[in-house]
Amino acid sequence: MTLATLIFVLLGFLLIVIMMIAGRTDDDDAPAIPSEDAPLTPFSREAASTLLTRIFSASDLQYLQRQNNPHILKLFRRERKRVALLFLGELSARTRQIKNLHARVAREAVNTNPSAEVQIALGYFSILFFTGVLSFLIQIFGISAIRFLAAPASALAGRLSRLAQISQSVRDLSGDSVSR
Amino acid sequence: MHASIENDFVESACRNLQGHTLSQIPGLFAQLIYLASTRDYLSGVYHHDGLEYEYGPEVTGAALKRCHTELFSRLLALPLAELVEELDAYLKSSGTDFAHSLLLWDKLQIYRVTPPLDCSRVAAELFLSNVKIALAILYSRARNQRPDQRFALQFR
Repeated sequence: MTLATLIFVLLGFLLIVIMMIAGRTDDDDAPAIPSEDAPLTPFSREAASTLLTRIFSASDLQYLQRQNNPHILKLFRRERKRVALLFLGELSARTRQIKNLHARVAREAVNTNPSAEVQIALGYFSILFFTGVLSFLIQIFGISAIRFLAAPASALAGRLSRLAQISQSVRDLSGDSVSR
Repeated sequence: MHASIENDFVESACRNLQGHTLSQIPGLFAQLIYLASTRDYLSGVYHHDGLEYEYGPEVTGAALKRCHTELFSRLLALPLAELVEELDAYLKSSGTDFAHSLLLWDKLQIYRVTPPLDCSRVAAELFLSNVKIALAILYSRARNQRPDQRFALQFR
């Protein structure tokens, strides 16, 4: 292994560690009851789209800038960053929830569909990876990055929606094969 | 079939609530506070004596819950500038000293009880965050109008 390859691998490892740290949301507003014990509300792409429009709204930022008050602008930046990270944290949590549910059913299933399993695994890892990247960008660049992240965040919500559909159809089929 | 009939009753109860109660409450924010106040703190079940007399507790609860969720969604979708005006109108509607109400809301965070139960955590946090920012804007405006005055909470 050459030195260049070693440096490349180390940099990659470092990037993954940084993204994992960035992916963690602020615990100041963490609920008293762990999220695993409090079921998540059903995911809807339309609802996610409405939330994203507001979280990443440029008009709200312009309105705040017109107020000409540094304290309010700072509060706005901090609050939007917190909510944006919370949104990405929820996306990760839902993705893990789908993966766990799917893994439980797949273990008991008689017939498995390898191509669907690969699709689900790839979907799972890509959502977690991109959620980590977006969280990292928001942590580092704050609201300046937020303005450009509405489209990628929306695409992630779409991926999650598709992952949930594929997983559901596989679980339905597995349920049939188990009952037979 | 049964679900469809129940849905018709809920729809009718919603119209009744809109026509007789909500239409009498000026402003979306005041309506949201009213609907949230009809929900029991421990059970999360909504109550309204007049509607329950006409439709029964189950249909009434479902109607109040639906109206609450719809109104919350409308307020959540508002641009921040409009939310500030809604909150401004609500806080001024009581006739209490405006700066006092602002400080009280900031201290007690009364608005935290307003999100409906079935909304996501992100939706609730975004709304609460917007209200917090709106309060800061209104407080800043109040200070600019009376720069010589020092605002403080006063309890009698």
